Amino acid sequence: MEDEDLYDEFGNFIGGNSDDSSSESERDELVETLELLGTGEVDDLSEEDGNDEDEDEDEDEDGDAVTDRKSLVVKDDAELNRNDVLVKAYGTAVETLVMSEDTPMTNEEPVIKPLTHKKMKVEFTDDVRSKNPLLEGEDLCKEMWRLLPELNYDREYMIQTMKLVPERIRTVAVVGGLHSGKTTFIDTLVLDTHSPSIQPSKTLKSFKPLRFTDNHKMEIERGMSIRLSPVTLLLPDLRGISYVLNLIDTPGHVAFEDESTAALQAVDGMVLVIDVVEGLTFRDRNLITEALRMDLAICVVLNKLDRLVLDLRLPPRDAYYKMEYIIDDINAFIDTKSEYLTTYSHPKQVTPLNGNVIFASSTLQLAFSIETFANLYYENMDLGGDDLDATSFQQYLWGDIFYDLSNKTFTTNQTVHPHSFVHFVLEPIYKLFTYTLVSDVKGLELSHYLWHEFGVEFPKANFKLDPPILLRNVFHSLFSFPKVFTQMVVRSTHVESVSGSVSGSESESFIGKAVKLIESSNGQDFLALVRVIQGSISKGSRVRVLGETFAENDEDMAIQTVNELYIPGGRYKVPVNDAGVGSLVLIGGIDSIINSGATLLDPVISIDAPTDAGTGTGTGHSTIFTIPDYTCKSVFKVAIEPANPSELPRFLDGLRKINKTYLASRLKVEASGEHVLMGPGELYLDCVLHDLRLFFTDDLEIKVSDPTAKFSETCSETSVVKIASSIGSTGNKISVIAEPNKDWKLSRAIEQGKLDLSQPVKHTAKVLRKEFGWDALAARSVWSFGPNNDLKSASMLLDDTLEENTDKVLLYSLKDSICTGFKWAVNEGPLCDEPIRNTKFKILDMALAGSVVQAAGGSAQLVPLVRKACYTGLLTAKPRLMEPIYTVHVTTSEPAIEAVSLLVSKRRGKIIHQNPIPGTALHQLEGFIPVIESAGLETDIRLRTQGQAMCFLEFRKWDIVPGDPLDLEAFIPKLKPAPKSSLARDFVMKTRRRKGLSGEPSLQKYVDPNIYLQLKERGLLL
Amino acid sequence: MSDGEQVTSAPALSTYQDECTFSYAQIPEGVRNKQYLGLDSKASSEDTVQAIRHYYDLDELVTILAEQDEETKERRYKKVTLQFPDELLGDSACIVQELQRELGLIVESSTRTENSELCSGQCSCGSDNNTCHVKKDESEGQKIWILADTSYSACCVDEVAAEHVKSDLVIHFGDACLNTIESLPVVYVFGRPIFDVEAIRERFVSEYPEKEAKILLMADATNTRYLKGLYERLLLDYPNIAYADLVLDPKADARIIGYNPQTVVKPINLMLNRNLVGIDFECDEEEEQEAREQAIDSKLCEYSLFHITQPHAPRLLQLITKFETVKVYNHVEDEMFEGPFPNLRVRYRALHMARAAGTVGLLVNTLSLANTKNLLNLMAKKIKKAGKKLYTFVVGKPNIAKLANFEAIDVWCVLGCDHQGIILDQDREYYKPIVTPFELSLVLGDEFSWTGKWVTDYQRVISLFENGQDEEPDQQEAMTSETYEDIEEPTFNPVTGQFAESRPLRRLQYLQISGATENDSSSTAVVKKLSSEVAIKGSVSTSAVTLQNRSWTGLGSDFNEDLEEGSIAEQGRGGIARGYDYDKDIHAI
Repeated sequence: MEDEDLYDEFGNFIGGNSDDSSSESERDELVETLELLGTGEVDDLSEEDGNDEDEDEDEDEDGDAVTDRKSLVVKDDAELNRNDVLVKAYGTAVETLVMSEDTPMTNEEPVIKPLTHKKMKVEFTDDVRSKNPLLEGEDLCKEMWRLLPELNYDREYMIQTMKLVPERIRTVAVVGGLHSGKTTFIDTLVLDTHSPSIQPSKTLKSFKPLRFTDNHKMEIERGMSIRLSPVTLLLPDLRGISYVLNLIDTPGHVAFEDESTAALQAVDGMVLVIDVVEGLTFRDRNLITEALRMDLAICVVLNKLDRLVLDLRLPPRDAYYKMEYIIDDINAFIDTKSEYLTTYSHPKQVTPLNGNVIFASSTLQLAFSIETFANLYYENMDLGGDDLDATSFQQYLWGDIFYDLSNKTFTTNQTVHPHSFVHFVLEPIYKLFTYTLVSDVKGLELSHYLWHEFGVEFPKANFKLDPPILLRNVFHSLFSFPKVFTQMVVRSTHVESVSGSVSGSESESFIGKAVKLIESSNGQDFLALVRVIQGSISKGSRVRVLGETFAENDEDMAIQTVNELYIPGGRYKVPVNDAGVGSLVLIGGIDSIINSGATLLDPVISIDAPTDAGTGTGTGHSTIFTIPDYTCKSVFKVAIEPANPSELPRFLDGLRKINKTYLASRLKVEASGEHVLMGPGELYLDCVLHDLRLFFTDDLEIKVSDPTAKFSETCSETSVVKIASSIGSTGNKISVIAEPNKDWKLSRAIEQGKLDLSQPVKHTAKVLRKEFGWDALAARSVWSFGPNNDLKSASMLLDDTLEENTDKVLLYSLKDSICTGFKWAVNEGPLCDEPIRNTKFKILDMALAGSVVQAAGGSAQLVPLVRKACYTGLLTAKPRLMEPIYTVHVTTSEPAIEAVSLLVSKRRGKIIHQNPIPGTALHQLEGFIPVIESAGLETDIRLRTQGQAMCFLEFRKWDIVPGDPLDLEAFIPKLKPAPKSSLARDFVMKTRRRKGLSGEPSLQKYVDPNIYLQLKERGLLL
Repeated sequence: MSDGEQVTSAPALSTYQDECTFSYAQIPEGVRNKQYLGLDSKASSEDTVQAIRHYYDLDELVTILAEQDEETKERRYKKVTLQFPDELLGDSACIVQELQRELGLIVESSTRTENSELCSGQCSCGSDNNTCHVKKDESEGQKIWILADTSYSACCVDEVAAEHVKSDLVIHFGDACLNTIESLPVVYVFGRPIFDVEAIRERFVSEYPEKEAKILLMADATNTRYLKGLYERLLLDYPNIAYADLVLDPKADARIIGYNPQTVVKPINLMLNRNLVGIDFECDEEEEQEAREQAIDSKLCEYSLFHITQPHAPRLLQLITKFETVKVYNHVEDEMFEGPFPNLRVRYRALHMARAAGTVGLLVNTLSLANTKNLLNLMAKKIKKAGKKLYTFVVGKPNIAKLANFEAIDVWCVLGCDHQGIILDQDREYYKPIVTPFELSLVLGDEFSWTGKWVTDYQRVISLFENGQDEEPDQQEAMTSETYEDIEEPTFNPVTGQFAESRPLRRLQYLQISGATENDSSSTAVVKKLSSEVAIKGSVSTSAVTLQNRSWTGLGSDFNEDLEEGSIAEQGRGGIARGYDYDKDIHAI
C-alpha cells in the first residue's frame, strides 16, 4: 500500500482530515488540564481506547473483517450475496460484512470506531466499572477500594465510627462568598488527612491550589466551584478525640445559590468562610438569613488572614479593629432578622469567645482560635495571674480588654495599653511573619524565636524553601489546622439532633433526605446525596422514594432498590455496605423520580396511615421534607433547539439530565414551541449549556437564541369603566375590574405561603384583617391566587359582588369554573401571553340570563367568559408590562467607581449605595439593573475597569417597564434601541412576534364593538 | 379546585340555545350583491338567472343529469343531491329550479316566479336542518335534493348526508378538496369566478423580481382553471415556473364541470391533491417509496409558492412546511396576505402534552375520506398498546364548547380533511391540545422525535403507524408479565419540566387494579388502596375517575337538589333531523 501513512493499523483513516486533528488537539487539551491537576490518572484518561484486553479483541475482530473483505474481492459478484455462507463459515458470533470495492467508502467515519470513555470529572473510582465491565458486587468494591488514595488513618476505623458512634458525626456546609477560600480551606483538611501522593508535584511547583473538591472539568478550568461537593473525613479535635466530619463544599458565586441552598438542606451547621479583607458581603448576609430560617448553627471562619498582614499591611491594632468590625457587622445583621430569631435554637451571637469564630489563612494552612492561644500560653508560659486557668484566660482574649504590660494585669482601661488580643495573639503572628520572611538561609532568628516562644524545634532543611512554603511549614508546625476547625464545629453544632434519634435506634426504620443528585463522571448515572435522618440503610435494601410533589399528588412515589452506596470523598467514593444514622451518603439506583430532592422512607412505613399508634412521630406526612423552590430566581432565559431536528431525542435526554443536575434551571416548552431554558443568570446558563453540549450529550450542536428575560403583565390604575363581558348570545354577563396591588407586604406574604387558601376562609380573612388592614367583607372574599406555581407578586381574584345585584348562591356554585377562568387569564395575559402579576381582579357583578340552570352553562362557557372578563378588566386599567430587575453588587477600587456607575446607568440601571470597605481601598456598590439589559454586564465591567471591579447579579423584584404597551404612536426605530418611552411597546410587539401571536393587544378583541366605539368617543381609550 | 366547595349545578351538555338561535335572521341588503357573479344590486332576476346559469355551467350539468342508462332507458341518476357551501347556498334554489325546468321535472309553472325570487338571495338557511327536500316527480323517476348544511367540512363531499336520501349522485358546488370518495359518483361544479389574468400577472412580476426563481403557482380549486393561462403567459419571462393543476383520482367516479384538467399525469407529480405541471422530479419510479418522497420533498423545498386566494389554515400550514416561501395573494381584494401564518413549531408543545396524556379522544371529523376507518382502527390499537385510554367521538362541526364537555380527555386527535377539517387552534382557545394522526404517530413511539414535517395523507400516516408494528409481540408480552416493580422510568416532560409517565395508565395504581382482580390473594392493604379507584370490568375508567373528582354531580340539565330520587331515563328522539322516528310516517316518501 502506497498510502499506508493515511491509515492507522486498524484501517481507519487518519491523515489529511483537519477535523480529526482538531478534535485530537481538543482532547489533548483536556488531558493537559487534567494533567495540571496531576491526579495520577492522566494515563488512563488519554487512553480512551479502553483497556488492553478490549484492544486485543478489537484487533481480532478487525482481522476477521479484513479477511472477509479480501476473500470477497476475489469472488465473483454473484457470490457476493451469499452472506449466509459467510455466516456459516464464521459462526454467528462474527459479524460478516459483505462489501465490494465499488461502493465508495467515506473517510469521515472510521470503519471501527474507537471506544471512547467520556470523562468530564476527575474521579479516582468512577471509571472502574467502565474499564472492567465484568466486575460486580464484591469484586467491584474491592477494585474501588484498591484505587482509593491512602489516608493517615484507617478508613475502616472511620466507617466503624460512623456506624457505632453516631454522636461523633458532624455534618456542616462550607459556605461563603466567591473566592473567600472555601475550597482551599477544605483542601487543607484533605491534605492533612491524606498521604502526600494526593498532592501532585506539579501543583506544588506552580503554587496552584489543589482544589480537591472541584472535580468537574468546568470547575477546574474556571477556577471556581460550580457544584456542591461532599467529602467525609475523620478529624481530631483539640483534645485528640476523632470526629467524622461530613463537609459539603459549596460554590460561592451568587448564580449558584441553588447549590448552597441544597447543601444547607442536609446539614446541622454552616461554616461561613469570610474573606477578611472584603468583610461581610451581600452573599454572606443571604446565607446567614437562610441559616437562621432553617435553624442551623453558624460558625465563622475569618479567612485570608495573611492578606491583612502581607497585602494590606495593617498594623496589628488595625487588623484587630477590622476583624472586630466584621464580627460586629455579622451580629448586627443577625439582630435585624428578628422574625427568625424566636425559633432559633443556637447561639445568636458569633464571637471568638463562644468558640464559633476562628481565624485562618487557608493558603498558609494557618488556623487558630483564641482557645488555641490560651492553651499555648497556659502550657508554655508564665501568665500574669496565678488563679488564671486556660478557660478563663481565654475569656480575656477578645473584646475591649487590655493588657497592662507593666503590671501584667488585664484592664478595661484603654488609655495606653494594647488590646489583649493584639498583644497575645496578633503580635506573635506578626512576628512569625516578619521573622520568616526576613530569615536568611540559616534562619537563625526564626528558629530562635520559635524555640523560645513556642518551644518548637524546626528542621533546618526547611529554611532553604521559598518564603511562602516556609511560612506554611512554620504555621503547620505551630498550629494544627484540622484540630482547631473540628473543635469549632463540634462545639457549635448540636449533638442532640443526632443522639436524640439514636436512642433505641435498633427498631427505628429508615428515613433519609435526598437533597441533590450528583452526576457520575461520564454523565450517565446519578447518585443521590442523602442524609440519613433515622435508622440505617444498607446496600440492596429497598426504599420508598417520595417525589417533590408527593404532598399534592400521591402518585409521585416509587419503591426502588439501593444499588450503590458510597461515602463521598471529593474526588473518590468509598463503597460501603451500610450506613447508619447521621451519615451523609451517596446512593445509586434511586434517581428515576427525583428531580431536585426527595424523601426516602423504609417501604414498611405506611404513608397512608399517619396516625399509626406506637411508632408515633416517625410516620405520616410530617416526615415529608419540603423542598425549597430553587427556580424562583430563574428569570434569565434563552431559547434552545438542536441544530439538527433528528437529534431531538438526544437533546431531550440531555435536557432531562440538565434538569436533574442544575437545581435552579427551569425548562419549558413555550406556546411558541420553543424550548426555553431559564436560570438565575448568564454564568449559570453558560454552565448549563456547556454541560448540555459536552457532558450529557456527545458534542450535540445546539442553536441558542439571544438571551432575554421573563416578562409579566400588570396594570397601573383601577379600571376606568366596568364593562360586562358576554359570550355569544347566552346572555350571561360578568363584570370584572382590575386594580394594582400596592401592598408589597401582602405580595410577600402570598409568596412565602403565609396566606394559604387551602386554609379555612376564616383563617385567611383574619390574617388579612389583622396584618394588612383589610375590611372584614373584603378579607372574606379572596378566591384565588395566580399565576400557577409562581406566586412572586401574585395576582388575586376577589368577589366584590353585592347581594342585591347578584345571586350569591349561584355565584358560589360556580366558583370552581370562575377560578379556573381566572387562572387561565393570569397565566397568559392579553398583552403578550405572559403571566399577570400584582393585580387584584374584582368580580363586580354577574348577570345570568334565563333560569339558573341554563346560566350554569358548565365550565364550557363560563371559563372563557371569565377569562375574557379578566382581560377586559386589565386592558381598561392602563395595562403595563413588567420586567425582572437584578440587584447589582460590585466590589471595586475607588478609581473604577465612576466607570462602573456609567456602565450600569447606560443599561437603564442605577447605583444607589456606595460603601467603602474599612481598612481597604475597596468600595462596595449596590444598585439595580433590568435583567434584560444585564447580558454581558459582568464582562463589560471587568473589561472597562481592567479587572478592578467584580460584579454580581441577583434577582430582586419585578418592576414596570417604562412606556405604554398599547401606545400605537410609540416610535420604534429600526435596528436601534428603542427610546425609553416606547420600551414597553417594543418588548410587547417583539414578544408577540416571537410567539406567533397575531396583531395588536387591544381591548377591541374582548368587548362588544358598540361599547368599544362608545368608550373611544368618550376618550376613555387611546 | 378545592374539594370543600361542592359545585352542585349541572352543566349543559350542548351549545346553549334560546329563542334567538331560532329566530329569523334577516339578510342585510348589502349581502345580496353577488359579486362573484359580476352583478350589481340593480340586476333583475332574469339577469341573475342568466348569470347563475353561466357561472355554474348549468347546461353541461343538465347533460350529465339527463344521461340515460343504456339498458333501461331511464335516467341514470335517480336521486341527485346538490351540496353547497354556506356562501353559495343563496343560489341553490335558483339552480334547482333551472335544473328541474331543463330536465322537465317541473309540472306547474306557478312555482317558477316564486323560486326566482328565492334565487336572488333570500334563502333562510339559519336553521340546522340537514337536508331540504325540494321537489319530486314520480313519473320521471329523478329527484333533486339540496344539502343545506354539510356534516363536516364544506370542501368534502358529504357522503353521510347524501346517504340519508340514498342518493346516487352528489353534485358538489364551490371550492373542494378533491379527496377521493370511495362509494359515490361525484360531479364538481367550481363556477367561473372573475379572474383578471393580466392584473395578476403584473402583481406577480412585482412580487418576484428575479426571473430565474423557481416558483409554483397554485390556487383554490375554483380558480385553478385560469392557472394554465397565467402560467403560459409567465413562462416567457420566468423559465423555472410551474403550476398546480387539478387532478381527479381515476379510481373514483368523479367529474369536473366546465374544466378539463390535463389527463396525462405522471403519478410522481401528484402532490397535495394537485398535479404539479412544470416540475421535473428526477427520480426513479421504482425506488423505495421513502427515498422517492425524500427526493420530492427536497425538490419542492427549492420552490416558492404563489398561492392565489387564501387557503384555510390547515392547508396553509401544510403548504408552508412544503415550500421554501409562501406568498398568498387575494386577487379579489388585490392584496397580499401578510400573516400571521400558522406556525408548525407551535404544535410541538401540543405533541409533548400528548405524550404525557393518559386519555386520547379520537375526534372523527370526516367519514368520507379514504382509509378513515383503517386509520381509526390502527390508531385505536396503537393507543392501547402505548398504555393510553381512548374514546372515539363523532361530532359534526366541533367547537370549543362541544369538546370542553368531555373533561376526561387529555388530548384530542382530529381526523379530518386537510383543507378545512383539521382544527389548528391558533388562538389557543380550546381547553385541551388537538393533534393530528400524524403527530400522534410521532408521540406514541418509544422515542420522541420531531421531523419538521407535517403529513396529513392518511395512507402515509398508516404506513408510519405500521412501521412501528414489528416489536408488537414482545411488547405485549412485557405488558402482561410485568409486575408493578418494573414500571419504566418516568419520562421527562419539557412542557412542565417535571417527570411524567409517558404511559400514565401504567402507573402503580392502575396496574395494581388489574393485578388485584386477577388474584385476590393480595394483602388487605392493597385492596384498601384500590378502593379509591374506579374500575370497570377490570380496567380503569379514567372518565369515571374524572367524574368522581369533579365537583358537580349528576348529568343532564334537569338536576334538582330537592329531588331525592334520580330522574327516570326516557327514550329520546331517534333518527335524523330531516325526519325523526316519530314523524317518519308523516314524511314517508
